[in-house]
Amino acid sequence: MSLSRRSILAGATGTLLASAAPGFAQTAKGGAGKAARIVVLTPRKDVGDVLGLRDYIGSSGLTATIDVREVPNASDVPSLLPQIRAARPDLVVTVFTPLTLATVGRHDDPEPARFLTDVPVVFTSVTDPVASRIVRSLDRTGRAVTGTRHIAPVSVQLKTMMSYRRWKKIVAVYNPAEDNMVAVVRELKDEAPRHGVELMDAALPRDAAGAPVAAAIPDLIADAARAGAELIYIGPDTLVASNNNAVIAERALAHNLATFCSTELPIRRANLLMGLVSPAVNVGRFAGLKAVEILTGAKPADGIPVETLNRFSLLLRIGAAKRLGLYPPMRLLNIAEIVQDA
Amino acid sequence: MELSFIKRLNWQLTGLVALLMLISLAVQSSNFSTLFRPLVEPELERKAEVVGSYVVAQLDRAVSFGIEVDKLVGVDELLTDTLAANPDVKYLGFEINGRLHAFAGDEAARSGDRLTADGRAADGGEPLFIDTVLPVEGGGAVARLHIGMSAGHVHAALNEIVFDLGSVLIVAILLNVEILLLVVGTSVGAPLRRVSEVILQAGEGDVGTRVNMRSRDEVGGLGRAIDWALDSIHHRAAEAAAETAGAPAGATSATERAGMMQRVVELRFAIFVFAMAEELTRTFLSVYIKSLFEPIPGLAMEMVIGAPIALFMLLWAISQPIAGSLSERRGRRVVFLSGAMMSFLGLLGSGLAGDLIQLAIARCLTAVGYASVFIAAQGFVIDATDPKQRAQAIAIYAGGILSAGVCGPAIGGIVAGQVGFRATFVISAGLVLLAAFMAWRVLPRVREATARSDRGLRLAGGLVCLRNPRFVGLTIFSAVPAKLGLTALLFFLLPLALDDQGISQSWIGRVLLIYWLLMIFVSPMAAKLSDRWGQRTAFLVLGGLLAAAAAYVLSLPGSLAMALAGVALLGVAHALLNAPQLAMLADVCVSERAALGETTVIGMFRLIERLGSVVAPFLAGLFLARYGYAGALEGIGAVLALCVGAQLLLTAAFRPRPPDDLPQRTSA
Repeated sequence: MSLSRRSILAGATGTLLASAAPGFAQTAKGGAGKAARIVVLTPRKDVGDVLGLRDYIGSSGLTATIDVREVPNASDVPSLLPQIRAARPDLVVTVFTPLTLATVGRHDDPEPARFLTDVPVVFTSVTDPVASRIVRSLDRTGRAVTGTRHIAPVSVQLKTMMSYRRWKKIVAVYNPAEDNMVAVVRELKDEAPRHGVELMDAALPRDAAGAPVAAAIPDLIADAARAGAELIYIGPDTLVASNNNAVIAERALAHNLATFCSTELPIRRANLLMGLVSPAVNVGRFAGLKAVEILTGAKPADGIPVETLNRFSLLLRIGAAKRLGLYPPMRLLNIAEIVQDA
Repeated sequence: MELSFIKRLNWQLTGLVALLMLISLAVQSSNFSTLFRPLVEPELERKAEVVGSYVVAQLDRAVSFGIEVDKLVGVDELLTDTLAANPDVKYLGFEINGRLHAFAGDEAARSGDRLTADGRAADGGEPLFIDTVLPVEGGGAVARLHIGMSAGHVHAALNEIVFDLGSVLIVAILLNVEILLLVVGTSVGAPLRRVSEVILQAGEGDVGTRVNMRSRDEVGGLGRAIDWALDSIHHRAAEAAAETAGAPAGATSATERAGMMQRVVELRFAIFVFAMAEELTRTFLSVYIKSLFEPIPGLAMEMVIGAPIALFMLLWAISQPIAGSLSERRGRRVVFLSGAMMSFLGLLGSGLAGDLIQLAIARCLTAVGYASVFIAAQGFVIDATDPKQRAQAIAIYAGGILSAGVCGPAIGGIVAGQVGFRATFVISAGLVLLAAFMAWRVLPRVREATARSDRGLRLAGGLVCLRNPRFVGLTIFSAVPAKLGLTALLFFLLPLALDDQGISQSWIGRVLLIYWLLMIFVSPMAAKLSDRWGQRTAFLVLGGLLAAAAAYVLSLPGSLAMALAGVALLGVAHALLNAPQLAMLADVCVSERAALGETTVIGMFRLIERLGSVVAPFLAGLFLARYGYAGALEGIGAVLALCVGAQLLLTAAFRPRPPDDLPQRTSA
């Protein structure tokens, strides 16, 4: 029985987690010996969150099938929902703010039936679930939705930027269509004067249909450089950070601007200067913990708070520093993980 | 007096020993540098290397990432951070191609971008720093890290040893006096006194008494020769006349008295050891209390940590008269020994206390024990002596306590610095046991058949004194402030303040030593002068004002030098007060002394005086909580000054009464 269960652990990617999940250590929900079924919705299959989640659930002793589905655009979610409901999973995991919002909707949405409401949902790497109105508050979510955040508090991010250099002007390049980004930039503007720095708002322009125009990024950066900005802030922004990090890195170096990023992948991929991040694998593991808590019935799904890991990694890319002629100070260098140029 | 030969011998021997010790100290300290420097310097260099390699590793790592060594950013901050974590290091300098790229620490070590103090002092004088150099991976450039340790560090450490030896020297001299008094008193003084008693009796015609000495030394030989002579005279006399019964009772009492004086000398040593036990903890008691402090809601910390000291003083004051009358009924020995046991347990408990409550209980036990021991010992001294000898005997006894006051804090400071506060308490407890053992051998097993009630303090009678405004003026506004100043400044505030400034226990001990030294040397002079000039009030006012000034000096910044000056001033002030207070008391209470007896008047005076010690920690704690150390010290000074003013007013209002006791004028 347990052997057969191992064989069906194959997710959509075909990865086997058998070795990490001894079948006889049965703690799954219901206790009837049934494997828990988990559906994961993610923009890409290779994000660290998914790896961490798999890893944690595999080592937790819980027997579960993990069905990972790649959903590049949040707008595809509504058409997927009936299919997910029909599969009757025990838990759904969503990665990043747009997919999460598309899956569970706002907590005060007038038509909750449009979203997934009868299955507990754990999200991972959502910037600000309260500002995005996914949950009512971090401690009391108000429904069977909980998860993890991956962004350091804005004041900590600013402090890190300022300990690299005493910047005078920072420019935030972001997608105004992403609610979480609007919230982050608002908070940055509030915090900036306390750190003695000016924050310049460089939201992407929208086209006639109201969609943000990513092609405007080079112009925005050129304008910012002319206006005297010294550092580009890149937030947890799907359009700018996830999809256009290479362009930003290249244009920033061309204009001799430093870059700061609050998520892990862009700085690992592109030639950005620094980042203060929660490593995505760890955030995913943390989400895995919450998933296990729900599936084993250890805690009710609506009683688990939304949390942030309280340790962050400082990533520095010496190659970018060298090209900018802006070496990191020793204090930062000593605590940083150095990202080598590919 | 009788003891003049012994005294002279004592001082001559002590002087000689002191001189020899001073010479040896001087010779040793001049050689310390050459003796110890080779031992200390490599140790410092090792430390510099450890700190330096930590910095170098970080610099090398940065360079390994491909950052050019001269482009490193924030090295100043790195050096400052490292310096803050290693206070022994005086400077850190990062040098590239001979120029300082980053520097943190003592500015005296550099001029501009050059390091100046790299071991080779330009003017050929003593180098300020010991410079250690470590290479840094520099690519093409020559990069080096300089770590500077203070060369004065060695010097300071050696000075510290010399100061410790100096304190020990002073203590050793006083200990020497104590031991000489004991030894010379036992083996020379007492036998000689007995010999003269026997010969005097023989001269009066009683040849029945013998010296009866067993010792085999020269004095013993003299005793045996006299006994032999008396034997042969006795034989001849017996042939001639009928044997008379002599006066055995008188003879025994006379020889017993000589033996009693001997016992007083021995008891002095026991009391010296006992008082030393308390004084050992003097330098750190308030700091120790502070370390056990746990917040009590609604009470300031400073008030709470004053409580154990105040409780101690209060219980001492209360239990002294009780223990005194108990010792008259039950015998000095019993009260002394049970008091010593209580102190032993109390000191042990203080050392083991886990919190402030336990400590307070232990301190209370110690206080009752102390009061019992001191009053029992004093009672024994009074019992053992006739009125003629009494003043001298009490002086012998009090001398032991004073010597302990000098030796205790100085040694205690050194001991506490070495083994810690708790272990010092345990050592104190051991000393108490030693003192108890000595007293056990010295104090007579049978209690005296005397029950003269005028010796003890009769409280009811003592209250009569309070009707005398001049007595009140003297006690409340001169004696109480003196005790208040002593307890608040010396026992409470100063140890806390100095410890707060990071001054070592040894130094606190030395500072307190000054007070007692001045008391010992200035007191007799002040007593003589005040007797000669008859200006009691002037002395009291001057002493009071000096004490207030001392508190003010202590409050000035400048830590150690000011503390020494202030404590010295306080010592002089209290030395000026000491004898004139008692003389004034005698002048002021002529009728009370006649009615109640000397002891009751003095007892009352001492009892009220102790109130100063009881109030002191609370008052000091209150000031400390409000105004900080400087403010608290000034506040105590202000109180002392106010008391002088009040005393002056009272003296002016109540002029000495004419002998025929006219009705008093009403006060202003």
